[in-house]
Amino acid sequence: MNPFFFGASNKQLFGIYHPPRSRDLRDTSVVLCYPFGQEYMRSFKMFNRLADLLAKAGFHVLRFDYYGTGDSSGSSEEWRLTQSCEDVSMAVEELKSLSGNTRVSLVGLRLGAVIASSIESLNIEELVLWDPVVSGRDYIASQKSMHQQMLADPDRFSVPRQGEGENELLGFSFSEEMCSEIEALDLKKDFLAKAKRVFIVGSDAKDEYQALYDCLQSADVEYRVIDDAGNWDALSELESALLLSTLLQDIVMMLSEGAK
Amino acid sequence: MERVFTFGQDKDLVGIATEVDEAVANDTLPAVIMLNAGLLHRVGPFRLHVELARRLAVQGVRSFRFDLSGIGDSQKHKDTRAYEEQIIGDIQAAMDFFTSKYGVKKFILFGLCTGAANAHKGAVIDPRVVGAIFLDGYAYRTPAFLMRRYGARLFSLSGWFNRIKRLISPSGDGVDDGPGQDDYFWVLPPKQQTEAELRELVERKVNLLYVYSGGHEDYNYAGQFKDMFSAVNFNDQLQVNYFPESDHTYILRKDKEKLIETISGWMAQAYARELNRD
Repeated sequence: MNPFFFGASNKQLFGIYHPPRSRDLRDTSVVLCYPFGQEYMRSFKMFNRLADLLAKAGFHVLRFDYYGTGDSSGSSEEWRLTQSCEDVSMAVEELKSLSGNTRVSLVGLRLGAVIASSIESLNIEELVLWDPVVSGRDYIASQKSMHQQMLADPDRFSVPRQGEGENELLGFSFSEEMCSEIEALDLKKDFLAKAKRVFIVGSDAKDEYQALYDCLQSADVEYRVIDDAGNWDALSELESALLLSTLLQDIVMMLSEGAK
Repeated sequence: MERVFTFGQDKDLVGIATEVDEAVANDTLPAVIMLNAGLLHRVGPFRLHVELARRLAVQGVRSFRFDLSGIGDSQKHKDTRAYEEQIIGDIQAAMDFFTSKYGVKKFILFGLCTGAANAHKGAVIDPRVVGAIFLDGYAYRTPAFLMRRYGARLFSLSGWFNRIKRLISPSGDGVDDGPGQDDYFWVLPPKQQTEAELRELVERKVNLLYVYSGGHEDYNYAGQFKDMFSAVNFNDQLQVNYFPESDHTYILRKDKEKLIETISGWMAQAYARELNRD
């Protein structure tokens, strides 16, 4: 596991490269696309584990923080979906250079799945959309609802803080501009990725995943529900680490099926 | 400017150093070592550690945020030491590494929650520690704490009713979860031990900043620290702040900024001599 910074000197991105830990080297590398905000914090350890499992299966893997998130440069206020798409493209080039592989697959969780789906310029092998945010409007509505519940939560605040926390949602900056950018998203219409195979993986059976699957029928697409709770809309889980096992193994299998 | 390093005996620990401009770099100024808050990786709750590190750098203060063994990106050690021993070893390895890289020989330990507990242990054990920032660190209940917390209930029939109902509720496990049985991530050491250790730190001229939030289970009024440790003379080495409106992890930007401002102000005051050295 090699941590490093990459990208332009004024926009340094923090990444961790996991070289393959198997003699059976795969000809495809994998870039992992984190979700945003508290969902990133919740899933961090699991991404570490997924990267490790993929490396053990012979893949070169890169996981990294988008500009304005995690250890990457930029303030939280500067994070934008469009910038994150550029960051993924840069990460793909970085991993190609590190691995020598030209074939790349992407795995994105929640908004990370949206980001991975929005890049038209890349040719992707497998694209795994894990609990994807299908409707940006529903996502922001859910975040706003949880934020309001959080402000009134007596287990968090001794005196309720309703009316506070403008331009932020659940501990992270969400300016009106950022909210508008996300609210405008509809993955059923905005799916631009050129992937040979798409997997929609739900940790819960949701109508919106089925609807996305129906919309992507022209592509080679598969929809699987793997019962491993994500609980993305539950305030009680806001600061709980996500610990999944079955789902991670399944993602490794999906990527292994397509790679030599 | 930030740089990432792997360090420790087997290079299995990951940390990020926040550097300062050459023009303000000062090797006599202690660097801040940031410890994990619970199991959160080094960026801290809601990116608190990253934002604090960058604010301190503007002030000329270097920092190093790293993951303890088994947390975030740091690997689990493959030795047989007890976990607490490993934690102290990791903190000392971080200091050793930072000294070798930047020449800084004095440190301030920073931590929230279990991070504060680890900062306390590290400060007690290592003489290179000249300052410590404890967010929701150790606290001991005082009579005034109990009065504030349970006083209203002592005179309220409904308060007692709810308490009894909880005890006998068929859906519960029959175990009272009231005072003394709160769910801690650390074992609170006996008060006499903490007092003795604080005396040692004061004797060693360690500067101490304690910040308590409204989310601390055992702290609920502004003067509680003074009441808890009335037997310790802190000279002028202590600053205590109590932010009852804030939650434990500073989820609101306004609260986080107030906290960062407080820490930055404390640094400016406690290390004025080093910061103002030309």
